[in-house]
Amino acid sequence: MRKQLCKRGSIANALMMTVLTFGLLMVAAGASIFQFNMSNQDGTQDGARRLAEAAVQTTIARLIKKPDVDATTLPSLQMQLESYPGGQALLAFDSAQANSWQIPLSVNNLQRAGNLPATTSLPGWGSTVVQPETANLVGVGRYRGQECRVEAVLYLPKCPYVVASSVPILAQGGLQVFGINDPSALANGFQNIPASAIEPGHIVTNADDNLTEALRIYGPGTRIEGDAQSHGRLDVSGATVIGEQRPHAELVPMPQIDIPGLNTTNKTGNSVLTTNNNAPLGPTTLTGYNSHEGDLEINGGLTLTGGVLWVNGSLKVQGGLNGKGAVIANGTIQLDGGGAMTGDGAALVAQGPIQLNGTVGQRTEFRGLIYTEGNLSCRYANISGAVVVNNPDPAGAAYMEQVSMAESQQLASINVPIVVRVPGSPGVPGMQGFPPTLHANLPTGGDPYGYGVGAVTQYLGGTGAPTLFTANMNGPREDYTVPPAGYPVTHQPTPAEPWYEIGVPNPFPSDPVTLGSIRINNPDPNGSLSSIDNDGYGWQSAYEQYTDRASARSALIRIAQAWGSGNAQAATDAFLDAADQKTISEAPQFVQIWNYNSKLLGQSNINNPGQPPTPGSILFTNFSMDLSQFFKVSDRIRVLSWREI
Amino acid sequence: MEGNLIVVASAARSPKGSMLLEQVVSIGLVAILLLVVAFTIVRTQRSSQAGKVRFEANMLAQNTLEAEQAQGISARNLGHLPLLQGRFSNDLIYQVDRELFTVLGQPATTGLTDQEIKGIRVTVTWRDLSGAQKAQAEGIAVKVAR
Repeated sequence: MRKQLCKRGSIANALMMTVLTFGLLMVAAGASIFQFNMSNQDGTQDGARRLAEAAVQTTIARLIKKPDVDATTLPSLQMQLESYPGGQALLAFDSAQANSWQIPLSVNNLQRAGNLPATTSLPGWGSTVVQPETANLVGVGRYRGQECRVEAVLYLPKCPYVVASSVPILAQGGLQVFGINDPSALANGFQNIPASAIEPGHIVTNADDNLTEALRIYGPGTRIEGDAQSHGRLDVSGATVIGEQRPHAELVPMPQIDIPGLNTTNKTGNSVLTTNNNAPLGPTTLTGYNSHEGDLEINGGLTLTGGVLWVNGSLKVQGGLNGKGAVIANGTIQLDGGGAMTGDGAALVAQGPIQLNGTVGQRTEFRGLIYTEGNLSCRYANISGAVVVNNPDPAGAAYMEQVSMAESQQLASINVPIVVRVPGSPGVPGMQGFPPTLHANLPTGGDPYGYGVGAVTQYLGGTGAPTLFTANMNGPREDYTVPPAGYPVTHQPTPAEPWYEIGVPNPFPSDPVTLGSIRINNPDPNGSLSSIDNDGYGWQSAYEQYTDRASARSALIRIAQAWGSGNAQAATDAFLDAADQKTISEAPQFVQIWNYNSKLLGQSNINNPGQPPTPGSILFTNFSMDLSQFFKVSDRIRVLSWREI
Repeated sequence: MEGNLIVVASAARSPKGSMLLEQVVSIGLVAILLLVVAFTIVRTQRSSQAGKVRFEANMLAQNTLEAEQAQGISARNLGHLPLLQGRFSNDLIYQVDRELFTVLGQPATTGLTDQEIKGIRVTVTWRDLSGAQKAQAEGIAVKVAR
């Protein structure tokens, strides 16, 4: 019995030890496998994350190259990385593709197509809202069954400074620097901007210290709502700086405008301004492209109504600058006296110094952007927009006295519609001809109204040709840049449809001749010829033209009598009555042809944007300038957030 | 002959009843058990050490990759950068290989150039008791102002 018990105990011992050993072995194996799995899973997750990041980073590279890519130009993106075989990096701007891949939608709202600034928010993935000038990118990496999603929010800010200067800045009292989000805050003037509308605005210089601090903004009344930044030292004694004071800061990128490239001289429809022996011009209003060779002085103010003025020299304006447009000079620009550049902003660009000289009682108001490659001097001025002093001369300076500056990204982005009327005769193939004009008489056409005068021989050099006075009733001049007088305008030109259309007058004017003109040729019965036509008839260079019945009647009777007509009055009245009737009866046909030709000319410019505009047509262009465009996108783009979701 | 056998059997049996064979087996099993425990401890320690080194290597690869991504890439040539060398916390020597390579040719990179986008591969290599080891991280680098 005891022997049996001992035997059983030994077997149990042996079994227990075996189980223990096996268990320990299993634990050891399990630990190893667990570690291996953890390590493997870690590697897989890392791979998925790097693939997701690769998708986002590649998209950023595409956006830097072309900030307005969208679902059309880049519907989706799919790539692989060699270190993660079988893995995929995915990103989709196209919602259908995003749904198909089952990944969140990416949205680019940095810019609209055509590099236009984005202005409205767009819906993103889930409940996210993609603000203007931002992009929401979601890259998805899939690797060995693991998925990782990386979201990046990008921001493409405009020029962020109120004043950016490459030379030292000196402000001696009264300098106010701030920002405004909405230009409507300026509606009641600088002195009445609501406190709630005032935002931080920054002043910055890249200048090194010369003899004094690179940034000196001191004196009573000086207040900077944002940062005061200098590559050298700064002196803000007595001033209030709400933001940070940043001495010895890193250089900020400065925009570089190609000023000679803004020369309007070769622009279609450019008007050349001339002066009398360089005497100053009086009050001047400019529309479209204008240029002036040499220095120009204007007394009484310069008003721009969608006008751009290029001065190949220096410009001095007394009486202020008003309206909307751009003034560019490769010399100095000096504006004396008050003025109000209003609306959406203007541009003041000079290769030389810029001076804005207001007075205590009449401060100069300027909205838009100021760019100079010389020195800047502002006194008693209110400036909203952005100011850039990009003077390569380190000895230069930007001087301000009693100046208020409001940074506004909207106002610093200039877009001036320019309407250019191209002179000349229309000549587009396919244009329709008007009905034949009505002649009072012709050497070949008989004498329907009874003037009773025949042709005489007149001479061109030694060659004689039969010649007779004539009169004909014409429709309005074929100038499609201006709607003809007396006809109602039924379609105003727009950038999309740059042509006029007119309607039939209703009622007709009491003097239908005013709807056209009467031209009297060969007025001199004893004259000499300037040409002989293919039919052998002679033509004098002189003629008379009238746009009302009374004047035409008087002249035609006088000329007919001079040619020897004994029935000049009756014949002239009969001719004019017929002319009235023809003008009225043919008005619908005339209007139809005029509109057809006008539209054809307008479309010829739209459909052939690369071709020279057709003479006689209206050309719509835009003068646009945005300081941001002179920064590289890669210098502007900012990564606001980068996270795994 | 039979009597001799009886003597031997009586001598192998403990007076308390346990057999010598049982004791030998038990001692053997205990020895095996101790060996397994020792092996497990050594193995676990080694795995822990290796895991720590691998973690350091992965971190090193990741950090190196991010450092390279943060640098401007446009002026850098494709190919291998000079090897970096250092020691892990357990004194093992490692080498870091950084390779810039083109990712062009993938549809995603349409319209881009090598100045605008490059691939970066970081490989950390070291040698431990198990032999040659490596940790790798690969990503894309573009020029982004931060």
